[in-house]
Amino acid sequence: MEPTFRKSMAWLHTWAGVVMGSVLFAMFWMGTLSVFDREIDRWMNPGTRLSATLAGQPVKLDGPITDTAMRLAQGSSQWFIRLPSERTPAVELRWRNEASKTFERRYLHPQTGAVLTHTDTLAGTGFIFPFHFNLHIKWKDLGYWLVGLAGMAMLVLVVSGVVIHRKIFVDFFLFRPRKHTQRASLDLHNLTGVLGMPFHFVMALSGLIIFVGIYWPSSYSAAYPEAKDVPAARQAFNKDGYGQYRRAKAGEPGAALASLDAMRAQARQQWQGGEANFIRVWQPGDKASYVELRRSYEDTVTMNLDQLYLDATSGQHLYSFTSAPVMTVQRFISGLHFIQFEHWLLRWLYFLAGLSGCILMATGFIFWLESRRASHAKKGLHGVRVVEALSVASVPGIMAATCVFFIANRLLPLDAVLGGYDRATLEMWAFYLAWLAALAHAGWRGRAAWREQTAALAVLAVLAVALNWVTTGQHLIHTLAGGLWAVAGMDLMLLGAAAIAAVTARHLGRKVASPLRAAAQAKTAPLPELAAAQQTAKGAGNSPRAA
Amino acid sequence: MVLRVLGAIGGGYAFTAAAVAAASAALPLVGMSRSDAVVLAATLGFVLYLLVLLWAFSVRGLVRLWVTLAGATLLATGLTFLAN
Amino acid sequence: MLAACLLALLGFAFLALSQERHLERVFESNRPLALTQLAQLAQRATGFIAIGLALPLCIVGEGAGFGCLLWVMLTVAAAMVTALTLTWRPNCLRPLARAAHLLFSFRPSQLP
Repeated sequence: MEPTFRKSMAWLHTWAGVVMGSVLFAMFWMGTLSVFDREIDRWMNPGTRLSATLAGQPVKLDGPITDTAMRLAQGSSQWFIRLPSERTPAVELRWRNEASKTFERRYLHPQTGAVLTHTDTLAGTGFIFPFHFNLHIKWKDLGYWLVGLAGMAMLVLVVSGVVIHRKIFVDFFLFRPRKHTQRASLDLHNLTGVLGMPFHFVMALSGLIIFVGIYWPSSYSAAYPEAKDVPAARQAFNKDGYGQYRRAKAGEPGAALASLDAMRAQARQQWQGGEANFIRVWQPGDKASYVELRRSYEDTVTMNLDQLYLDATSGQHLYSFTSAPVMTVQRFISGLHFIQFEHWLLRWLYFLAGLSGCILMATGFIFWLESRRASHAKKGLHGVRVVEALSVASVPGIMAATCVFFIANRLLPLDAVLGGYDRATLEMWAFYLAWLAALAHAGWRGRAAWREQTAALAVLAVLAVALNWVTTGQHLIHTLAGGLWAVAGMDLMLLGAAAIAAVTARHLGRKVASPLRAAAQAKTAPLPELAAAQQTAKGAGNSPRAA
Repeated sequence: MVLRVLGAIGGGYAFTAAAVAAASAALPLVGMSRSDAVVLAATLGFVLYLLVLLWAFSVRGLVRLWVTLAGATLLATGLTFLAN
Repeated sequence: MLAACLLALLGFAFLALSQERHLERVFESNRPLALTQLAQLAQRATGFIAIGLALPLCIVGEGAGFGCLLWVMLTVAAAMVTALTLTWRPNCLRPLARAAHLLFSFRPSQLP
């Protein structure tokens, strides 16, 4: 490639960053938000804003909850329940809609079994989180493959970044925000990159490792040569590795469902105190109906695969599974990425580290733009214009679009339908249209778009908080006093984001061209005093004292 | 340039996938369960692909890039056949 | 847990303050303020040891899995806090710099 390894890595780092940067920022942004996806769910689905103290109380499944489930899931081939936790105080019920082949979701009160007021929304767990790992591009799994490419690109970027960072230890703690944009953004890029390196590298690698079942289709046939084709080999691998039990329908009605609470007790005994927090009833009402119980992993990093299948009417044991050694390690690695455990300090640290990753990518874009702005303008190249539009749409653009998503959630009536699209889909449309508008605006306004979209972000974030107050009446003081931490947290985060965006927008607006540059642009000779002042300023800028 | 990128990303993936397949076929021969073998091979595959990418974007000469990758891929595929 | 956080912060502070450029920023002085080779080595070693000691503390407090994760995330956080303190509130680190100087140099303080 280039004459030296380091130069090749510099080329690779720049190009991988420019090409994949937009996808990577989107993934990191959605990933960071996903840390609090359940809290976003509470905000976007006000009916589920139950007090967190409810989670501590024992839940009885037999009775109202099971009755409601059987009633709502009438005619469905399966329904399942997730038991409440501190972050999700309600019982989550889902069942398969046989007509549309999708899953419906309702939340139930954990003590009364009543169906909570439903807002048809995908919210955090249904939109933001899946966006992070498949970009909502379902066609031929293209989303997964693009995410995989981005993940590999991230690994390449981190390693190449280290290779080209000559003074990595000398500059370890260095950040000079008051220097000109190019230097300040490079400092911050290096700072977030180097200091956050364990996080960025491990998150990228662990994210890829989660999908061992997708990215190497060649491996299944190799390990299971007796399978007739790749999908069959993959099925065999899934069964061996992740555990699976299926039993055909009998086609005739069966006896009533046995006690789910008794089954939970059986599971608790088998797992020596481990609780089942996921219970699925397959083929409800059929003679061959069976119940699947999965073990909670709220108190451990490893996302265990312990599962138990029992006959639905007799409770007879059908199948148990626990993961093999290497798979258990893979589930630990998955667990440190998914962070489904209950640990508030770790969760917040992940959130902050995720934000640092977002800053890493944003400063990467800014540095690239600043370092090439002058030369591209002189040579008449369009690169900077194109990348600038993409960067603005990718950074403040997607953040503003996310706020529009939240605003649409508060504004749309509960049973809104438009052009055949249900409410949840309409919210998604709001997000994508806003993002597209950001791109169009950035293309039209060029460099000024940074400030304008950041300012828009500030306004939109405050608007979201205001709309929560107007539509639910649960403003910040109310939620803080009432212990509704999820909602309070979301409102506070939105306000914090608005504040930072406002300050940033002002800062961007105040960047007046230096008198010397202004004079040069006006093609007049700068005043001698100005030139001298500029010289001493430049000289002073090299001493460590200069801020 | 296009050939470089295609070779590195596409060719690199082809080789790594073949290597992962070879390992998935070979590891059970030393006693590991088949699903575990796939998981281990796939996990190491990501690290291998990273190294291949770094090499592919720095090696001098397009011919060298393509020939090495093609050869290595054939070798790995052969190993898979042997193991099975 | 708190001890682990403090140790990590202390460790990174020591590492940062062993670099001349940062010492000069903390004391806002243009005079050369470098530590002697030995003092620098001792201060850096102590810094690394402090950060390393935080790991067993995390494991004891939180268990093996959470402990290791927490330690990695704490080091990231502590390094960031140190860097940002140096950037915006360098004076806060003055007492620490003086204490480090006392500990690791074996002659009277040359610091302003």
